[in-house]
Amino acid sequence: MTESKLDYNNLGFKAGIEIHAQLSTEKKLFCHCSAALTNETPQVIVQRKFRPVLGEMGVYDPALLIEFEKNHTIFYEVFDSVCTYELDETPPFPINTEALYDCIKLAKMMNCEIVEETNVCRKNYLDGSVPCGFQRTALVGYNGQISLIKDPPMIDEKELSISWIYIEEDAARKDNDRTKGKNVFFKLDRLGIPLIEIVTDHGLSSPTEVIFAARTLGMLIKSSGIARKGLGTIRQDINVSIAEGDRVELKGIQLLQLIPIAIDFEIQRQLGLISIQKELIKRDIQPQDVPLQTLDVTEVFSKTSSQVIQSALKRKERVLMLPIAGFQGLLGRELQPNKQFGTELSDRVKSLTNLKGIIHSDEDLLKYNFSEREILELTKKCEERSFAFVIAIGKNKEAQKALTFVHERLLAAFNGVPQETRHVNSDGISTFTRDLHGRSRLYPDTDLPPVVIDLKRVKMIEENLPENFWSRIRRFSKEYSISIDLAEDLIYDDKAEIFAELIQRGAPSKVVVTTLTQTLTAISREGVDINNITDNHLLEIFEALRLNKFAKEAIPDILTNLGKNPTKSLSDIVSDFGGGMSQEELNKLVLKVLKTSQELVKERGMNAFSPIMGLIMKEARGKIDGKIVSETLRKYLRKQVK
Amino acid sequence: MAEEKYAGYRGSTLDWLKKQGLEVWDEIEVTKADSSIKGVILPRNELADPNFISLKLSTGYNIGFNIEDVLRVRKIGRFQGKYRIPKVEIAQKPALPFVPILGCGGTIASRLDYQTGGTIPALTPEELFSSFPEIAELARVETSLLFDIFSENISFGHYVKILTEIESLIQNDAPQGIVLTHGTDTLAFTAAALSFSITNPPFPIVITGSQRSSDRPSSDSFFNLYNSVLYAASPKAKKEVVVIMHEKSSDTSCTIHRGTRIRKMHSSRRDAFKTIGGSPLGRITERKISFAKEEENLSIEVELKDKPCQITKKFEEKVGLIYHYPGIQPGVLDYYIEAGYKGIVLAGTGLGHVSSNLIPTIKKANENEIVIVTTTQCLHGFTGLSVYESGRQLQKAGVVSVFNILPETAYIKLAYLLGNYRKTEKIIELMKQNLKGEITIREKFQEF
Repeated sequence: MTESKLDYNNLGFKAGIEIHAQLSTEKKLFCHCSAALTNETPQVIVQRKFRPVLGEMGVYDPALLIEFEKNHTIFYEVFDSVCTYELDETPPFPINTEALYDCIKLAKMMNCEIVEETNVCRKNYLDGSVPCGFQRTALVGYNGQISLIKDPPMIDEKELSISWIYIEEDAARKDNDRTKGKNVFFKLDRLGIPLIEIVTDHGLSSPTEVIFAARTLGMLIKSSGIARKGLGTIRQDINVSIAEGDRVELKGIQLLQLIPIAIDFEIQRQLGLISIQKELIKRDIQPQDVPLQTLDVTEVFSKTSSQVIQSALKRKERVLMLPIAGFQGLLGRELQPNKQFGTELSDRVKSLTNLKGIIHSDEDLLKYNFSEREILELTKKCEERSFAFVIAIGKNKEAQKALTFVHERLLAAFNGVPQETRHVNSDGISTFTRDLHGRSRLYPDTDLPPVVIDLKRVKMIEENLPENFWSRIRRFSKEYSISIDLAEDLIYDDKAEIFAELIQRGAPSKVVVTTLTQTLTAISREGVDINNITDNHLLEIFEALRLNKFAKEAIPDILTNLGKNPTKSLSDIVSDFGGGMSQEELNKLVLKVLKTSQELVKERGMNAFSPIMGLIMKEARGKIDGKIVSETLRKYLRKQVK
Repeated sequence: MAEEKYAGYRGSTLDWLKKQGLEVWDEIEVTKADSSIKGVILPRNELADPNFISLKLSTGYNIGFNIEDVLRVRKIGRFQGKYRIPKVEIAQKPALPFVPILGCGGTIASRLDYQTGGTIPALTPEELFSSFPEIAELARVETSLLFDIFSENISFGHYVKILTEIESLIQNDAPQGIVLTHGTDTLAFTAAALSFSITNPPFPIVITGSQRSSDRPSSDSFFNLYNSVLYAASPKAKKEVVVIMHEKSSDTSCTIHRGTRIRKMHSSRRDAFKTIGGSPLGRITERKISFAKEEENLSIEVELKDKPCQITKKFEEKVGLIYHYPGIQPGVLDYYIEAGYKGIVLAGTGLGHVSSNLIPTIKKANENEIVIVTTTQCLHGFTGLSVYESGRQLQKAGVVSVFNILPETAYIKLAYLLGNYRKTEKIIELMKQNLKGEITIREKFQEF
């Protein structure tokens, strides 16, 4: 991790994280479908449109109205594995209590208070990811606290406050292959898989602490034994702010290593926005100097050679311009690598309308093939208000809407950093997705009555909580004299028990460690299904190794074979390798090879060892330990040379 | 109002609130053991567990807390929700056709009722346009709420009220068409009642509803209402009672059903309404109305079109609908005879059969001038009492077989006929006649 140049302490940096993890229950949260993804081809595709509804308080959530205005049509891919609940054609069944109490278990592991009567609420989503238009979610625990594990060394240095823990249904999976323009496709299989959401308070004061928190919570979830394993089953969002900035939610960070990079870029962005705010004050520009007065400048381009505009004019689109007083030079100010303030405007238009973006006056307009005359005319149009403008190309209404969003964003620049949700790309740079949702999108679910929590059951859960994972790691490391890192890996990957068992049976610890931590991962990467390799297989393999049925070098091949042929017995697989080789057989082999290599021995003496060893190993590999082969060869070779 | 202050609370929680000097909408901080939580006290559903108090947290989530081990409670503020749908002034276009919308308990647009957890209909045009502004592009709309009850509580009195309103619209306003919004559970009964009671309607009468309430972003109410208004405002529309609802699960098309052959066939799906034993009249796709070929509409010998519109508002309420089941006892029928019923519709098995142990009672009913007709539980297909001996026995006892009329439609038709005609022979004759498309004379192979 490269050290950040930013002084987080002085900036008043604050962060909190939200972690989502799928539970490994058999059934979904509100119906009886299997909680699993599918590769089936869809049987039916259902088409829907969504409309905003009023929140409980009698107001529309603005973010929802924007989503509505995008006028998307949603398509659902219906599989044999989903029912009419996922399609919003059947009301919910009572909440899956297994999932509910699993969530309570996790809440208790974080020392949370448990809600005595949970109320399922509806959280509106108009993007189509939930066919009802809302996600069902319930608060389960609150006011928790855990020790933040810094690593290394593993010391509980700071308490991390857990604000809330929720149980909710996962949303549908977007099908990016089919989605095109306003037609958005979703796969319904993921919808309804139980999901827990853990929200920490904003007490994290550096990017490193954010990593620690994400790691700590990730380990805690894994050690609870209730979460689903695999890629995409745990997702984390980060809320960050600095004193002069505001709360921004960073979503979609897949790797922990990306956290400090993404935070660094975000804080740089916030600092950039604050500098724009200060520059506006310096230039004495007020919001009222930037009215929403757009001009239709289509005429300017009547003989244009700009491809972009030519094809737009063919579609009967218009070119609208918003002159902006006092923003010259600011639109081009870089906020993140290759992302200017103008890009923020453009991203917003891309996300909130169906336009592909905007053009602004701090860009090199010649790259759009605008002629000098056209640029001059545009400049003239806003001369009196100084030279800065944004151009939107589209159907009149759509372009007007785009410039309205641009205008809103420009006004927000006077206040520095707007609250928003941003998606983090794989390089750590983020893109605007939407404004932060307000709370008017949450209201009670009238389909389900409140559920009174069974306190006796909670008590039983509390009395049987799994061992705190970090004390388990420490205990394991001490007991087996292995490093903390190794202990953590074994516990993380659920290999601790088989490790202990193998060591107790006298298997060589180095080979066991290599097999469990490296070999299995390596062959899995090569596409071998290691789920076919059971703990029993491992016990058998090491027992066979002890009896010299084969050499340790054969382990990767044997595991690969087992993974590919789960029905084959171990002894069959071993005999595929020709079985083991006895010392006697080895002796014979060595003498045979030495005989055919007489000349080489004469020529090189003891230096013939390596090439001859190679010849012998061609036949002996995997059947007998290489060390024994080399000892035997050395003995016979020495005799001959003498 | 004293109750409002403690809306929905009773027993120990009510006492507790009073003792603490707290009421609904107070913002409080509750401390239990070593932890506290803040929120606004919400009205509580009267049917929920009485030992909990509902709280809305600052995050927007609701929870319930048990008052038992509360250590401390402190009032920190007060909050009052305003549940009004924002009104939007939309200039109605005078050139557009006039389409009144009558609310019959169905929800057009709605707001959430915190207390019951249900929805309250919003029915002024301003409220309607606020939710569905697109409707203003189709017609000049005027809304009125005739009654606001769940559709399972609708009965003959409500039909009369609707008929009276339609009569007044015909006399005073000459609309292009009208739309009724109705709860879906008994929508088919109302459709049949209006079909039989209005002869030669001067404009299309559209009934619509929704299977997903309008408080959800995925509600089908907008699509159904939009297409209903579109149809009612169209000069192409047929001047009869129709039901317009989702054709499929997708928000892509609506089906136009004849009011006498419609049935709700699923408790919750959007495409629950089906025309039974025939093709629907047509469909609306992307704002285009298309009708099925005339011959596929089957045998609609609806009254002569040059006759003036006539509305009758009488129904005989003493009509029963009995679903036959194995082991049914004659006492069931005896009850109807003794209670002075004038007509009974049997939903018989298969071809319209009922157990032979009912025959003596049926004879008795027949002697009491009670009209007994039989229909089939199968819904699809015709009744036929001449096929088996048992059927012939029923006919002899006085049971009238009424072809493939749906049991619910037969019930409404019998109530209508008994309300408007005196002579039993005439009633039986009309029961067997196709008046409003309720009986089809041929069943096409593909229609099942």
